[in-house]
Amino acid sequence: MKNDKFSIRFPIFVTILSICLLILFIISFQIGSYPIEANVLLDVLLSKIMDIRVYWDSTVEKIIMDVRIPRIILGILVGGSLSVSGASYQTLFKNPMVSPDILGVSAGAGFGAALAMINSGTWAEIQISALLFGLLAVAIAYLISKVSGTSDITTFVLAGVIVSNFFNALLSVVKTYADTDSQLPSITFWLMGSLGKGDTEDLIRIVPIVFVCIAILFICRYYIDVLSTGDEEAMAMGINVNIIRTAVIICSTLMTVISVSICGTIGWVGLVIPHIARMFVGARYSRLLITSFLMGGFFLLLMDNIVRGVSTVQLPLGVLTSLVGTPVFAVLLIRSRRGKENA
Amino acid sequence: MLEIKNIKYEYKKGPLVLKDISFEMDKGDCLCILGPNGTGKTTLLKIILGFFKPLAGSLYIDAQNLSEITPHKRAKLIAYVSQSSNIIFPYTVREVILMGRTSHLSIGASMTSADNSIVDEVMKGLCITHLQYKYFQNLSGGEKQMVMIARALSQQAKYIIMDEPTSSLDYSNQIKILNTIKQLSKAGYGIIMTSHSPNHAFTSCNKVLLMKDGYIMDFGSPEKVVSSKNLTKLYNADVGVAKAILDDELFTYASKVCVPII
Repeated sequence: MKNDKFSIRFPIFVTILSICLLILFIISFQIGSYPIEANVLLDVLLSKIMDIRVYWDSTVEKIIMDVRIPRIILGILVGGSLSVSGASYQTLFKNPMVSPDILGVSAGAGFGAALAMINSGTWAEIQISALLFGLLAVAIAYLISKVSGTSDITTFVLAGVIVSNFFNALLSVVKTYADTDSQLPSITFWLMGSLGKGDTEDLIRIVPIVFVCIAILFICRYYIDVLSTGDEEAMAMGINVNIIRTAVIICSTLMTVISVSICGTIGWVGLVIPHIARMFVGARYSRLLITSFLMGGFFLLLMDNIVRGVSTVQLPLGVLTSLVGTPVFAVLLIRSRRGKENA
Repeated sequence: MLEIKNIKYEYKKGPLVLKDISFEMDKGDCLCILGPNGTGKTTLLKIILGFFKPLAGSLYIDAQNLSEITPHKRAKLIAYVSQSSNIIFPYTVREVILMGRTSHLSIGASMTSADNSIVDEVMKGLCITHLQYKYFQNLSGGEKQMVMIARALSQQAKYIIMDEPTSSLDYSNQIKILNTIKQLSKAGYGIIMTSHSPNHAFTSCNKVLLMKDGYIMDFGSPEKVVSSKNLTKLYNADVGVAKAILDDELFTYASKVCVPII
């Protein structure tokens, strides 16, 4: 008889993961066209809170504070947010194949960003447009499922698929009107995802939203577990299904849309990471939430380091996550099917 | 005391499913609802559980109006064992049973050791402690049903509603579940179950409700209600009720059994 391996494994796993993330965080500063030594990094960071004699070049400080820090922390937060959204949607929709853009967020945001780009919008305008259209897409999906008169989740997911396709069609329309020399490439690159454009202001915007959303999801942790058994059973166990479901969808959507608006569409993270996390810590949502966040942050930061490390060509981040994510998922699929046969 | 008064219900733009349903039962009673398919048995259960709002009528538990309380409070009064539970993610049996404690949590709080010891007790009572670290999704149908009952018990509600608790089980597991139901009603739980086998009324219940076309055909003790005349009318088929007296080397036992006349 197996013991409850996850209860023992979980704290160890989270500790190891946190240490790995911290090490990767420090290493990440070394990568790029301007390497920064660890002791200089430490002194620069410490100088913000303590009195330390400045012996470094002001460019070094500028790079650390304005370029590396936003990009590295954004990488962690975006990866973490997408993974947590994925984990939440999967549990809520009782479907392991669901990814954070299932309700149409990414398609809406992609259209919004492209629309802003052909109107020569600034970076801020592009972001806001992506954000608004991402939210609009989910709102439309919600309305469709409301109008249909059923409250079941399948209708909502189907409506999300419809809305996704609709916005993708609109995106194609925008692309055909785009100027092929400058606008079309920038739209294409945006759609492939990149952390390169993120700055300190983005960081300031994303931090509170991610923090609040994760806090709300954590408060709902037991309710989300119960919801994964089905609406009626959840109701019989005293859950106000509509309220909890709405809260989870709003939090997950917000985290996804803010991530997408900053770095474009980054596929596979939100789908694959929760699966790997579940393999290590089990299905319980409270554990899944924490593990997915750490793993997702680690994964995306690692991918972004590869993007930055390969100096010859800047591979788009979204493409790299898909390139790595799909084979990993294939392996997971084979493993889980084999496991089932043996069980 | 669970009181159901003049419940009416219709599905959207459809005919009335439940036309006028009233009955009472107490803690310690085990009520078996019998009736052909599509007669509104499951609908009635779902109304009692609060999934559907009745068109008219009222429901009370110990003089508390069920339509006026939150799902949270209702869950402390009534628990539910569904026909079959489909949990996709790899939750362990222990985690599934612990879910029954959710209605006792205040917002944001964690499960305590008290919640865990209630789960321990429930598992021990149903003899399923050995399953606790197995994945729910890998269990057999009978084991799953026992875990679902355990989850309902950990909710600590005095009334438990079971929708065809034996429907997809083999014979030995059916007997196991029926036996468990009998023990629970002896322990003071009020149980409402639906069934397609009128024999279940004799094996574990002390009250029977016959439902046909949205009305109550008859209500009372199994001895009185489950008769050849009633069953033949209920199912539109010839069904007789016979006395079975066992007196052999294994058993000395007297009961009634329903026999289809074919």
